[in-house]
Amino acid sequence: MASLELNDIQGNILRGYGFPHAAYLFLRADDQAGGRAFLAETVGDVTDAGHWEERPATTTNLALTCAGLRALGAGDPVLAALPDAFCEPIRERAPRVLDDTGESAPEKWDEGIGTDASHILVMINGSEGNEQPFADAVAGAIDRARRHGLTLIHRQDAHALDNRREHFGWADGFGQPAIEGGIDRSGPGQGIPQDDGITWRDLKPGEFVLGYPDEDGQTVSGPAAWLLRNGTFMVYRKLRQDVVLFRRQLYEEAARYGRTTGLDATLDGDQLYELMAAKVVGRWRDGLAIELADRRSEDESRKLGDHAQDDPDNDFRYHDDDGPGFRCPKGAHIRRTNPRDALGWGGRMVTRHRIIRRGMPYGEYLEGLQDDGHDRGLIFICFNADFERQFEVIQAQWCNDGNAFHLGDDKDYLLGDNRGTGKATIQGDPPHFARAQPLIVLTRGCEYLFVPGLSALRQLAAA
Amino acid sequence: MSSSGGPQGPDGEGGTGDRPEPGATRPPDGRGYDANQFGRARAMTVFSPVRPWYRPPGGVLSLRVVFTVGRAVTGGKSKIRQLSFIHFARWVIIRRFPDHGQPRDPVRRPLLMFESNYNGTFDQYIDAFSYILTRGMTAIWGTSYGFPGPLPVTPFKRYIRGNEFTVDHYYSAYPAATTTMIKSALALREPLRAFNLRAATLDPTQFAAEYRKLLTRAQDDL
Amino acid sequence: MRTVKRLAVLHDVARTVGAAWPTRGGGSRSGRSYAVTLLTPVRPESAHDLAAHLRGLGRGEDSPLAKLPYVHFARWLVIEQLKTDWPGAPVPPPRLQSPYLLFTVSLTAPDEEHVRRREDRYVERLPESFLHELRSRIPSDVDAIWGHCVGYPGTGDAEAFVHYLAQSQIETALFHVGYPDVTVDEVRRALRLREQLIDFARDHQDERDPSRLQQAYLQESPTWLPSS
Repeated sequence: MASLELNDIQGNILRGYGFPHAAYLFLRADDQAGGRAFLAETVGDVTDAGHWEERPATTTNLALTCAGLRALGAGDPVLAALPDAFCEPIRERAPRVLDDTGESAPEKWDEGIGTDASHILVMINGSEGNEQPFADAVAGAIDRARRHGLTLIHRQDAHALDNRREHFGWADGFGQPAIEGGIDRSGPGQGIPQDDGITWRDLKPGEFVLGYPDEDGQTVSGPAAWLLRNGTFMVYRKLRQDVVLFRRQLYEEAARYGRTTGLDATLDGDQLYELMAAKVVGRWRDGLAIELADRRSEDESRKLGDHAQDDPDNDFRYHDDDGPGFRCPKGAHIRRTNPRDALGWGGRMVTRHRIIRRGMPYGEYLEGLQDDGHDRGLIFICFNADFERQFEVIQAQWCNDGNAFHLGDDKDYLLGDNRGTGKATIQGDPPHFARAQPLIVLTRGCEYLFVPGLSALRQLAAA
Repeated sequence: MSSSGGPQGPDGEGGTGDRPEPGATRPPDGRGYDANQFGRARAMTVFSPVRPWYRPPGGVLSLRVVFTVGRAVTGGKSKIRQLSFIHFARWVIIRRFPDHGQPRDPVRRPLLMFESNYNGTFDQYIDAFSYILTRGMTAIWGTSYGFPGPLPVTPFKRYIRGNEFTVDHYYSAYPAATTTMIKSALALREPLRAFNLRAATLDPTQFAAEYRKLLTRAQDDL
Repeated sequence: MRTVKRLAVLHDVARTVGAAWPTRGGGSRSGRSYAVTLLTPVRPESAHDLAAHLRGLGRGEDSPLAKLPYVHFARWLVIEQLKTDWPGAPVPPPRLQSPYLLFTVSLTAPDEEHVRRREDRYVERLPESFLHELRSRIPSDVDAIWGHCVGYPGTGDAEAFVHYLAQSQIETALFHVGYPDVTVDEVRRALRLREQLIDFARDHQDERDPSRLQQAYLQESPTWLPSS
């Protein structure tokens, strides 16, 4: 087993920083020399995956689009060796593959995002209590860009919410893949289920970092190998969330669910809401998987918004004990995004479709059911070695479609059903057919990027 | 109220509608993204040259044996049936091309043709064949030149892609439906028919109870 | 005793193999479903035009094939030349002397009558009956396509037409049918039925009153199931 060159791999890939402040700066390099000079100056600041003696105040990471690589002079032989998914203009790809149509279509996206002008992404994170160093780092990056003749075409700020929340109210970020040689702590349930029904195996690093063997034993080669080694591909999506619409619909649906199942005799509106919430996502709002606990006590139920599970148990499977989905519905969000063994064959059809998530909410948290008209949502970020095989299968085949789970056209309730059957089945006796809602999550921007290793960055920057 | 604006309903022998299909990928000949696809139905057409009998495990005869065994075992609970994303698939052994009086085509090697109508992506399809029908794949394509083996899957995909053709016209009678939807729909007919026979004769309370039972039993097909 | 058992097993195996061995029509047919595979040589100077013509055809219900009621899936493909640019390709590479038109169809006949003649159980009607249908239902489309092929006699003479295409047929060795013995019509009706039931179940989720539920069901469900 090759050990990972941690000092060459960018830190945010293998490590969830857990820092509450984030800024995403999209830059356009108006000339090659300026762009390269900017890279050369920035690469010294880039945080790698090596050990931290002490936690830094801020971190810096860099990613490049295909247009950016072209603008920086990576050269045609290299560009031709990069995947189609990465090189296709995202505004053409997203509607076709990711179903970013209608209200989520590129015409509605934020200015600059997902265009030919988007070349370099600088990601800066600031740790707890370090607001000033964070602001300084961001200002410094913007100033450096200006000095080298780059244009800031889009800026996105984001910050963590209390209790690891995202805006719909769930504690988030659990269930990251366990990687051989990885540095983040992981436990049973995060890897690949083994046939003994008990143990789990870590995933091969090549699924997430290029240059190492993946689950099929492949590694990088060819004219782009020097660029790809120790790097990875990154998905950036700005997902706008309509919190009030979501909550209102969920309350109504929960009431209906109570009537269908007769649970309204024993659970009040709030408790039903929490149960319905757990059914559509697959985790209770504090992060506990519904597969492990299909009911919560009244006391627990009232507090689900107030705290997050520190280290929720991920050690569960679906196939043998919950094939029909009576505990965790077959179409629940986490069951769709990581089916584990639910697709049968011991989980073999899931292994090659995992992703690392590093998203961050943006916008102020909103309590209650009164809309304030402000923009809020999730900056969804994930890393994978192969867009088509990993992220796009999850998004297009598993979330935007129900066929893999024998759910016909049913889409993921959480992501919103723009144009499907309009239902999400909560399996049970009797089953409940929840009305799936359009427009609760809208895409406001998308980018496909490449996150190079540090030596690749230096090589790219060298004139 | 029927689902509006969705993928064409079951009567929708219509076009792809305005919904781009999940995960459309570029077919091998570099043509438009939907050339090997219509609605949710995808076409795969592969020709591979078969090795002669004196280069084992080559030979058309071995292939015939493999397929004969194959036909005996692809019923009921067979693995290929459990891979429920295949509508119709076939393997054809081409010994000679019909020439209709033109000079005989000296294609010295027999060809193995494979065609499939399926749902999901090309990659998922080959993954399933490689991981789950491993022995079948070896037995069938093992007789063809250049077959790298079903695992690892990456060279196998490259091999199939190298031998794959893009169709010029692809037709499906129900482009919006996937195989599992069709199987579910077919499985619903009998319970629904039986229920309908009794529906009018039951009193309301009985009706509600039977209706609930029907939905509970049928929920995996809805 | 063991020898007898072994012989019995061998006998069973032989019978199974014998039954499954591709005989005339054996491999192409699976129950009432049939796999038609036709390969016809294309005049080389016509190959591009033919491909362009095929790509320009209407799709879905606008496809000429939509007029063939028993066809689930079908494709036309012009093979200009075999592919040889992959590792392990044989040397010398197999080459076609002319381009070919591939036409494949997966169809299911509605009843046994369509599959074999009543008087003689062993005479297969498929694929001849299908070829006759091609000619009777979409003659001008067929002429526009196969008109590019060598030796094509046209749709004027039924016997000549059917003979030409029958000579072009290649036997299928293994045919997998995802949903055996159902026609296109049955599939479409079943899909519609499923959709209607889903809509009803979702829309009446909240109906607490059993008699109103029953009333609604009795009113709406007849429109789902055509009486048959």
